[in-house]
Parts: sequence; structure tokens; C-alpha cells
Amino acid sequence: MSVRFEHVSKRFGSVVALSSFTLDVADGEFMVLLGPSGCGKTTALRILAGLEEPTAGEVFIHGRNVTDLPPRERDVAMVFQNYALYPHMSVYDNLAFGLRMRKLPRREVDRSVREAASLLGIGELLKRKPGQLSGGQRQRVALGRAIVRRPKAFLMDEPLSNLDAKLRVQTRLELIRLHRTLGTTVLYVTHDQVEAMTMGKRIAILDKGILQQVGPPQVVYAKPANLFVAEFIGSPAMSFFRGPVRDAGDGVLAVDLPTLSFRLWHQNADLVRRANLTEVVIGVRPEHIERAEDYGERPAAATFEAHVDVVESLGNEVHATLLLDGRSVVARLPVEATVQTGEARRFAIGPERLHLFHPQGGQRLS
Amino acid sequence: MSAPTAVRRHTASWRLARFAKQAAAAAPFLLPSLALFSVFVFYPLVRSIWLGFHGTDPFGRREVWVGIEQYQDVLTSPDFRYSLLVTGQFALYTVVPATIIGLYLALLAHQRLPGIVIFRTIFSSTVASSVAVSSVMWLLLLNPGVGVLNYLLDKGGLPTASWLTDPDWALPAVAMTTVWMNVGFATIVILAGLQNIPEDLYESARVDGAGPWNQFLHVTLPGLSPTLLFVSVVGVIFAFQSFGQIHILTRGGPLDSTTVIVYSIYREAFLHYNLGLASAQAVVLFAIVLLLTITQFVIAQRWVFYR
Repeated sequence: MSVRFEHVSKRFGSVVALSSFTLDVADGEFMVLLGPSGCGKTTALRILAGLEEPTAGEVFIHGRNVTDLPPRERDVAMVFQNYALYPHMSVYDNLAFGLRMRKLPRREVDRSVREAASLLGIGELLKRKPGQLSGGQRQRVALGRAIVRRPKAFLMDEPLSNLDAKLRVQTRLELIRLHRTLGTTVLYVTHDQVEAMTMGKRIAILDKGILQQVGPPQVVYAKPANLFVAEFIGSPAMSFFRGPVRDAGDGVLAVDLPTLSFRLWHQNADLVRRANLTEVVIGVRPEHIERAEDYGERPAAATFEAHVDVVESLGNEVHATLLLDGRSVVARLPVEATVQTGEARRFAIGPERLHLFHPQGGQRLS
Repeated sequence: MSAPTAVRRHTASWRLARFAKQAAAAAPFLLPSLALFSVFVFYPLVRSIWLGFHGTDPFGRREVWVGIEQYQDVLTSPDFRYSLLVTGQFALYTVVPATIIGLYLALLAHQRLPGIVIFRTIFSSTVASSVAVSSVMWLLLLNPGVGVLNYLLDKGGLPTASWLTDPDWALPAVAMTTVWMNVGFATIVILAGLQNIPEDLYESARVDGAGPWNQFLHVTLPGLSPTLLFVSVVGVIFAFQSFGQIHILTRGGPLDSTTVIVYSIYREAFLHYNLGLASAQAVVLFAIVLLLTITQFVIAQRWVFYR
């Protein structure tokens, strides 16, 4: 079922947790709410669940205004970060609880519980108590408790954050499969951009209670709407260069920094001119910094010499931290592109993938 | 024959040496409390058991070995059985209401509201008043002539009673004052228990469709079960050890209707100067309380859930 937030705000005392948050989630969509801690993503989820009352605004589930309904009348299921399994109940009773609260006939409860348990591969654990389960098993029970009710939407609050790295990757895949099987709308809260990028059909990025950008992962990555999104998405993070804009003639604009100079032409220059800027922020993703010899003879937006400070080899690629104007800039290089710690090398940045941002407010120029 | 196993077995003397070493290290930490316990608990306990095997003269001095005679007397005496019954009733009248009222007050005081600390303090304040002071206060409140209770009952058109002098009402009246005294303790302990129940269990239950009653039944009560066991065990022990309020309010009367075991022990020891018999009673009381506590724990294993 579809979900809609309409200008939802939430204030805790003087702290604004969520500010005029508007978001449409389509039926069956996997929507990820992403942001640093305290950005309001969990608050949004809790408001949808009915666990918090919004200070202003309205929430709709399948077109119905549920703003004033208690959680139990919203027919959503929530997976909590710490799973919140009832510790005194067996796995079976944990799964059955929501159904029993809805006064379903015993036979139907039993059938649904066994169905959900087999879907998640926890059929053998039904008699155990949560205390006798491993972290991964508890996680499955928490998921099972959500899917057993066939709710209108799943709300998941960082459900993987308590698992170890390997299990997290594995469970991530299973969640994707589960969503494919069930086709239920999912709102998934996380601060982990890898989870967001891999699982979300769309990602909603929040900061300080304000929605920054909504879009498919590729779009958010390729065209971040502002400096916050640009910096938050991508690892290693994008590097930023702020400098004054100078007309270099022949339709070319130059942005001069102490040790390197960017040259903007065509589209890049048009964007800066249209915004009528005297200063601009240029963002460069690590994979768009190349060794000068690899870059070749094509015209570059910038070439520069930098001191290689740290080289981290990941096996399939190399992250080289370069010292430039007294700060660190990360370049993501192919393994063949050998660079040595301590050496000074020339690098080049291509013009196609520069990200240009407004120096005030940080909006992407477009 | 197979070759001797490579596993080295520790010899008995090696184990003894290790134990001695550990004990020597532990001793300085244990000694202070051991000394206190020895003086105030262990020695009196052993002494009581020993006294129970000895008859005493009316001045509580002559100690003659009488074997298990006095223990037999205690166990077969109708007086003792009667006071055991009174004590049992007293425990029932005090533990059940104090636990329920304490639970109710704790639930009220657990709400997150401005100024709730004031109510928490009021609800748990009786823990800070001594048995003697509370008893004297209730002696006045229950006074048939000038007491507030009868005054209010009369105003409300309800029958009044001579609370502490009527054999039918004396035990419930003393129990009521004891409930009042114990409610503060129960409230504090249950409040602490409530604070240990994770908030997300309630939230999960709400999303699962549970209303307030089902949340109480399926989250609060199971989460409180160890606390409630503790409160009831301690309550029973308190009840079996009650003396002060009975001594002040009724002196075991009227017609022995409030003669609980400890009061009977007191009477035997300090009015009849029969230390031997009193000690025998005390030892039997100890055994009964121990047995009751074990029983409570065994029964509770079924429904108490420790996280």
C-alpha cells in the first residue's frame, strides 16, 4: 500500500526533529530513509507507525489519513533495531502475538506462523525463547513477526545494525529477496549508505530534520542535490574545492586555488554563468581523479601535482590519499596504477563528472 | 596396555594448595562482613538452636539438657499451631494487598508526567517511617472514640468497629496498618522493576495491536515477574517476623487473636522467662520461613522470567 507524508513536522521541546517532511512512497516500493544520527529518519518512521504524534502535518496509508489513529489501527509492522522480541515468549508465541491480538482463529494463527517461519528458515526454533537464539536468529524472528501479519507496510528501523559484517551482507540479500517475494511496501531506516544504495528502489536523504533529496540510488549518487548529499553519499567521500571564478577568455572560466586551477567550459561554464557566481564549489569523486599518464592527452578540467600520503590497497582497487593545499584528497585508482607512498605525482581530473555547487546554500547548479 | 594419557591430572594436594591460596586472597575482603554476620546472625542462630535443647529456670539462667523435648512440645502444642495459623492469616492479609497496591501505585507513578517525582516520593514515603511511629499513628487513627477512621465511616453512614479490641477485627486492623507500612517498599521495588522493562517492547506490542490491558498482561507482568516474586518473598518474611506493630497496637490480644509467632516467642522469652522454649519456637520459625521461601521459589520457576 502507498504511504504519504504531508508536511509532517515533529518538535521535541525546542529540538526540531522533523521539519515539513513530505514524501510519497508507492505501493510495493522499497524506500530507504538515509541520514546521519539525529537527522529525523527514525522519527519519521515512528510517526508513520503511530508511536509518535506529529506536531504538524498528516500521514496517509493507502490514501487514508491515519494521523490520529493508534498504531494498532494502522496495520503496519515494525522491525526494531534491538528486535524487541518478547523475552518470556517462545519464538512461536512471538510470531503469533500480533495475530492473536487481532483475534484470528487459532488454526489460522498456526498456519500463518508456520508459513512465515518456513519462509525465513526458523521452523526449528519455534519452541525456543529469544534468549536462546543467536543475533542472526533473533533478527529473523523479528522479521518473521513483521511478515506473519501481512501488513500494509513494513517499517524497519536499522534492522541490520546489530549483526556482524558478514551476516549483515547475507541478511541484506535475504531482505531484497523477501521484498521481491512479498511485494509489500517497505520503509527502511538506516545510516549505512551501502545498505541504502543496494536495497533502496529510492533513497530519501535527511539532514537535521529536513529532506535533502529523494531519488533512485544511481541518481542520488550521480547528481547529488546539494553539498550535504554529495558528501554523505559515496565512500570514500567526494572532495570539494571552493574558489573564485575568473574569466579565462575563449568562453573558459577558471577557478584558481593555490596549487591547482580548474578550467570550466561548455556546460560547466554555462552553469556557473547562469547562476552569476563569483565563487563556486567544485566536487570531485575519488574515481574521477586519475594519474596524469593514464588520463592521456584529452583536455582536463585540472591537472596538478600532489604528494601521495597514504596508499590503501583493497585488492581490486587502490585508495590513495593525496596531500593538496594542506588537506587530504582521496583518489580511487585501478590496481595497475601504481603509486608509492611519499612520492610526488601528477594527477588529472576530467571535465565530464565535475559537480558544481552554489557557494551559499550548497545547492547543485543545474 | 595403551600408553599413559598425556593429560596431566591435578593431584588432590595441588588442588588443596590452590584453594588455600585463593582463600588467603579472599579472606581480607570477606572478614569484615563475616565478623558482623558472626556476631549478629551466626552466633545467635547457633545459640538459639543450642538453647532449644536446654531447659531454663524462671530467671532464664539454668541450662539443663532436655534433648528434643522442647522442639516436640513446640510442634505438638496447639498454642503454637494456633499462632502459626494467625501468622499465616496475617501474611496473607499483608502480602497480597501490599503487592497489589504497590503495583498499582508504581504503575501510576511510572507515567512520564511533570511533577511525577512528587507522587513517587509520596507513594514510597512509608518506607521511611519506623514501625513504632507508624503504629502509634495508626493507634490514634483506629481509636474507636476519637479515631479518624470511625469518624469517616460514621459520616458515610457506615457501621463502625472497635478495631483493635474486637477479636474479629483486630488481626485485619493490624494487617491494614502493616500493609500501609509495606506499600512504600513494594512501590519502590516495583517502580525499579518497571524501569527495567525496555520501552521498545511496549512499542512493539502497540504496533502488534495490543491495547493497554494486553500490554500490561503480556509485557508489564512478565517483565515484573522477578520483582513481584522478590516483593512477595520479602513480604512473607516480613510478615513472619512482625512484632513491633503487634506489640504496640494489640499486645497479641484480644483473646490471642493477634498472637503471631514472634509475639508468642517474645512472651515465652521475656514474660515467662522460658528462653529454652522460646528458642525452640524461634528455630522452628526459622525452618518454616526457610521452607516457605524455597516453596515460593520453586512455584515461581514456572512463571518468573529472568532476562
